[in-house]
Amino acid sequence: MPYGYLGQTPNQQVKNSGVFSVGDAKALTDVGQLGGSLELIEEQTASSSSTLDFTNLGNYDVHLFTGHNINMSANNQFFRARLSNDGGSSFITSATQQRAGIRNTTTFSSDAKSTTDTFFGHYLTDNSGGYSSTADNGNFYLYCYNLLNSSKYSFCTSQSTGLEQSSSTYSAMFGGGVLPTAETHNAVRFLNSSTGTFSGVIKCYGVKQI
Amino acid sequence: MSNLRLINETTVTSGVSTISTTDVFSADFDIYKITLEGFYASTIDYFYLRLINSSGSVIATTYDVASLEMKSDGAFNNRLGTNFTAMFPSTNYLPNSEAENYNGVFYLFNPTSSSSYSFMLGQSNEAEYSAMYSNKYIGVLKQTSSITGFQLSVGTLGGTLSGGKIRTYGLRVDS
Repeated sequence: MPYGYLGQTPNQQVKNSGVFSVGDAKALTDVGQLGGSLELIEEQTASSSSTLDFTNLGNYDVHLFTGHNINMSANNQFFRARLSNDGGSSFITSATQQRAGIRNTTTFSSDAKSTTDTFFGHYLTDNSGGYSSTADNGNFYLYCYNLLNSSKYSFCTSQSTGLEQSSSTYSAMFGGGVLPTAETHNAVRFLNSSTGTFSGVIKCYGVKQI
Repeated sequence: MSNLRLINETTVTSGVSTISTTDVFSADFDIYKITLEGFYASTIDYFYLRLINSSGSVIATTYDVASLEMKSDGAFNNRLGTNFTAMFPSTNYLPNSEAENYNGVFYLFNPTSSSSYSFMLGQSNEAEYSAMYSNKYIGVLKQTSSITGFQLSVGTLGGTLSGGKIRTYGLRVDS
């Protein structure tokens, strides 16, 4: 299709570097050939917050969340996630969720798994916020699959980098999780798995699809 | 324009044992991101990734692979192989129900380079046998042939693909 012409479309024979009309742009967007493929849905900043909820997930099969400069309010606390099936009015705490992953630190490496977890996915940061320093923050990415699909379980994979929660030594974690109920999950909550609070920036992206 | 660019979206046709995404790798990008979403098979079966060269041939040799299989209900397993026939290790499974489906994100490095092997990093997740299986993968095709596509397959245990969607993205650096 020759782009960049306003009015009657010519029989274009050579490459054109004209201006896209609104129709041109829509036609290209509809086939995934215009615009970026990682679409920022929402960014939120937590400051001594107990929870951070994302209730607008757009319309995607695959979501990417990134966590940056995550700090917990005290030592020995993990950063976790939960899902909602009612738009964020409540979040699922049923002990039927499963996860498996690895904690790698400079002093040990260990399996971490559960078939009766009350959170969604693996630990998102191994964070030594108890050292009261924003320099030793945690960072992660979390891919979520099928959240909005009522016929599929919701899955996730994640990887993080930070400092281990009790010793302030380097920690890297990766793993995955599932909420094994085939239903729509239309909101995601991030929270301190203990009773404390957290600070940091979390972004929610949709991974582009046609 | 964003630097992550959707190149191709392919949907599995139920009943086939292989699905190929061809002519998606070019000199336009050095790094590609592939997402697999919603994959499952007619029966639990081994699930393989192989690369396709510029002549259209599926390469079934000279892969070195390793993965960590992490189960929610059992011991974790290291899977290793040298000069293997595929880029996923031998015991990578697809589940047999839509609800339990397999999902993952994979990065492929230098597929079209004539001076570099093609490298892969990946992570996946699925449910089967009433548990959750998550895998972390690394792999390399020890050939410098130009790679332009890839194939996913089942069938070792008699299964066929029942569902899934593949999206291929290029990571662009404009200088």
